[in-house]
Amino acid sequence: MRKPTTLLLLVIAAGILSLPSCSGKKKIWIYTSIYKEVIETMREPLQKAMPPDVEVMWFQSGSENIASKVNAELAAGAARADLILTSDPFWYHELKDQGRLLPYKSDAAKDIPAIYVDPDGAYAGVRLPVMVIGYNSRYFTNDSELPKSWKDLADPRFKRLISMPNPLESGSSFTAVALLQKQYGWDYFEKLRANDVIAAGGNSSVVTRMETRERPVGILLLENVLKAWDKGSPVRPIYPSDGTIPVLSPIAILRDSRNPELARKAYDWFFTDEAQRAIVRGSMYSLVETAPSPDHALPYAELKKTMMPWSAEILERMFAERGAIKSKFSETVLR
Amino acid sequence: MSDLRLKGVSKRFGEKEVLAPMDMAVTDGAFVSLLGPSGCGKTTLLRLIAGLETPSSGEIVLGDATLYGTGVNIPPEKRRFGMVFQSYAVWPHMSVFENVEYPLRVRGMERGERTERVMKTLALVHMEELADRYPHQLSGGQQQRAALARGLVMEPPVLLLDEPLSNLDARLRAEMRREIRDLHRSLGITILYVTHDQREAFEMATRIVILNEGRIEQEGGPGEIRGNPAPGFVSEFLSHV
Amino acid sequence: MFADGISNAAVFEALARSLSLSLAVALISGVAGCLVAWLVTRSDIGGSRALAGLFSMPYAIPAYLLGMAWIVLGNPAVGAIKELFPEGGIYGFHGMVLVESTVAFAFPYLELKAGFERMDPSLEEAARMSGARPWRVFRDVSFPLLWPPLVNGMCLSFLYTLSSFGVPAMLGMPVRQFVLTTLIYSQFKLGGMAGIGAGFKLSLLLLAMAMLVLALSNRLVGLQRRRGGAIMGSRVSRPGLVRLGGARLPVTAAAWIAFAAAVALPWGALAFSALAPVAGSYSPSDWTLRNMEYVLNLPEFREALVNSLALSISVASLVVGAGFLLAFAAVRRGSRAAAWLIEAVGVPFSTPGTVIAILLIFAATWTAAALGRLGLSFDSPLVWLALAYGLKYCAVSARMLAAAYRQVHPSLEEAAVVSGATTFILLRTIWLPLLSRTVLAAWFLTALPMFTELTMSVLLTGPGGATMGTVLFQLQEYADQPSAAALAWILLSAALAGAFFMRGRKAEEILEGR
Repeated sequence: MRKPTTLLLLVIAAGILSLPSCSGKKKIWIYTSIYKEVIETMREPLQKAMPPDVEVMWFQSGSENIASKVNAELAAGAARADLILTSDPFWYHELKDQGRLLPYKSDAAKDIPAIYVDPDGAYAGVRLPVMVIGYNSRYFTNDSELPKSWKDLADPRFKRLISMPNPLESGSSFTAVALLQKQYGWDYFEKLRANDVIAAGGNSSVVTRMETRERPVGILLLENVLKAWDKGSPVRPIYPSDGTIPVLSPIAILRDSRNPELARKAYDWFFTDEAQRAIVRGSMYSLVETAPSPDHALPYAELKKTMMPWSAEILERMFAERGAIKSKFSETVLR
Repeated sequence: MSDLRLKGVSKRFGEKEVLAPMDMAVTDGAFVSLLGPSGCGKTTLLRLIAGLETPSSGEIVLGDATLYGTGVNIPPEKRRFGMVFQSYAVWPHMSVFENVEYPLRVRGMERGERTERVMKTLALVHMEELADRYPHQLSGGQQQRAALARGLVMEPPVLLLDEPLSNLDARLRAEMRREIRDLHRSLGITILYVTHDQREAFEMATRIVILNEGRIEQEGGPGEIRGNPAPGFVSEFLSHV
Repeated sequence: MFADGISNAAVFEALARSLSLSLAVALISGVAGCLVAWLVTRSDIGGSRALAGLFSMPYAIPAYLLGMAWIVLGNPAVGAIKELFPEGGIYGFHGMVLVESTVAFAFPYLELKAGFERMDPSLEEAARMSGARPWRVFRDVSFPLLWPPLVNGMCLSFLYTLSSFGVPAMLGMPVRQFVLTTLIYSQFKLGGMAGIGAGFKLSLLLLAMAMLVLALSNRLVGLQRRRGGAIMGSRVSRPGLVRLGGARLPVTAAAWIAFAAAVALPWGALAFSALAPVAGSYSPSDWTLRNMEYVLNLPEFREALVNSLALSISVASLVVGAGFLLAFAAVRRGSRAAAWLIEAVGVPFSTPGTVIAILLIFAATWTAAALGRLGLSFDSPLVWLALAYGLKYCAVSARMLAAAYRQVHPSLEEAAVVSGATTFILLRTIWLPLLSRTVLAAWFLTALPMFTELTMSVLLTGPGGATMGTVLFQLQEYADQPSAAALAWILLSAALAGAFFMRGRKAEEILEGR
């Protein structure tokens, strides 16, 4: 390396690296798995809703990455996050169990249906992604060939045509597996295994496998299908007749929060019209009944009719079984 | 045994012509020194003869066997020359004995005969007692002798030496000059010796070929050249003692 | 015993697979690396200069995208060249071995190439003059003298594969073949709070294996120690190349085909994916530049590019520089502490990125707590990223340089020391030029993975901390395959262009800035 150039680069690097934000402002850290594009629409309005001496900081990554990070921070003593918004309801239950959440029965969340809110106020659903069946419309020329329900997927005619996200890696997929095994038992998954289902990666890899036709049918989040559709992809959703699967995506405040008052303020903001509209624009369903539904999606009113049941008790029960569900899935589908 | 003859041999590396087409003859049993300043092409010429490089044109013949010519390019391992390198190139992971033995092992000689030959050759260079030592345990001069022994053990028709003494100190050099000259006299082997040191050339060689910038400037016996140096480069070169 | 939801049998099966995969890759990389290094430095193979640089290029492709490219090529349903693969396509053990080898190959290859270039060619020429044919020359002279770099290279290949996640995830999991790293990953991701502990327990298992291998390789190299070193020629000597003769054409063709398979195919697959309007539609009439534009216009792209460049260049330079000094202290000055340190950094190298990131999150939390008590706050993710990259990859240069130092005879240094050179001058005027090729190779093998690093970056990033890896993750998770492919294709093309550019220059020239 040229000596002066290396030196210069090192100096620049040192400069960049040591940009501390000792700005003296109070900070609110939000860890979320909401898409960056949606966050961009939320950034300014939320900042405006907070007092001027407060800076809102966002950490965005996959749901499970957020869980890893927060769990590690907690294990090390104290989490940096004030607010968490991800889409794995079981994790929130665990955090509540361990006393890591700060209960808050917010007025702003009063319109959220009770089944999506923790009875003790530890967390509340702020949006509702749903798991549906996706398919490549160029692969299936005839509508009659399409699966109409989750049950259909067990039919041998779908051999080597289905993929799903790995429930050991993806919270939304785990929720789907938990609800499906409650509905149909493990027999169902044995049939899926017989159909050589690929259970790997996240929701995005399911989209890719549908598009490349490696597996033209997928079990995945509706928002992934809608986003791809928007971009010109041939993938389309099917709302299974035996019920779309709700993936409760809560918001919660961590007990260690250094500014609980500010955290509560930000928490409230996420239930405002503005925030909920941003969520809907991001192809996710809002839990506020009066809110619009995402473009191209089945209206929420329709969706509700066939959606699989959900409640705090259901969550409680499945939480207790989660280890067993994971090992059973491993043995049945991943061997 | 046989004469070594070069006809029209030249070498280019890419665009650069390192050796202009030249003719040269080395009579059997002669001690020919290739003398010249750095970069004159003497080492290249030696390597062409050894087979380590391929000429860009010309012919190399040993006796009645063509080593290089149209359609013929005998690889170095088949040319049966002995060679001593400037850096000695004594293999560090083998003992002196194993180093000198190697050419014989490669040729499939029987062990008993090998041992005899090796010890005989080591005696020629006064290294019998150090046969079991490893190179890192030897001085520069001793390594050089080991290299010499390795080059001689096959009893090659020609022994090629590429500035073998330049890494030694003055006293050792003087000693080695004498020894090499003595070896030549006693073995009668043909020697081709590359050097930039005129003292070495004039002391040891029976015939000197002076090169500059890829061309032969003058050749002849040491007395001839000293008595009648060609004007220009040769006179200039020889005037620096 | 290890974790909820995973039986002990499953853990040991994954462990066995990790070990056999790593072993297979190490062996293949070693043999192939040896062969190619020899061909490129010692034979008259066609286009050797170009090949020399290009062969290490697969290393420039981030693992996730390499896996993706190979799936485009070889997935059993719709892969472009699926006919060339056995049943199951690119998925499964043989697919993982193939793809990992194209990357891990770089370690022994570059070490041996540097080794050959550093070795005095007259050692081999003397053997040829003694009547040995090229194979014998290799067996009797080159191989014994190049043993330490070869073993070290294979060791690095082994450890790299052992701790790798991307390729096993993409090519193993879809067919239910797990390795230890994919198990660890799922523990951290969805294991809840207990998952952190479980993940660590599994990592310790992995680490135990790595320690065994490191110990073994030290043993193997140690056996060679008494044999001294290969002296560097004092003149810039071109080695007399072995003429391949009749074999030249087929060997040259085979080498270029191998290169095409290892680099051009994935590059092409990425290009096709990048130009596709939607994943899976590969016909040229549909090609669009939209994905490329999208990637280049992403708001984080510029920030990520600057961060990744700054981080990889500065951390790699620091780490390689430190390795250069450390190896000198350990090998040439007998420093026990330095030698121990060189061994110790093999640990983070063999540790999956996720684990290192989690440990650094611990460290960051404690630091924040400590600073908090002093009323300070420090939120720069770049510091932690730099630490993560440095820790993970410092072993490469340290070990490569130690192997290189061992290979050179002490006498070269002694002359300078006797003439009164200080250590600094010694390092700069003797050792740096001597080891320049290894230094450069080490820098390449260190900076490149830092530039595209993903697993650690995603966990340690934050505002202002976008990197190429986090952008890749974004595109992978939230955009679509063509966009991710576009970024990968841009990165790989840049790396190839860089290698092409540098091909004429000698290592010494580059290091001295000429």
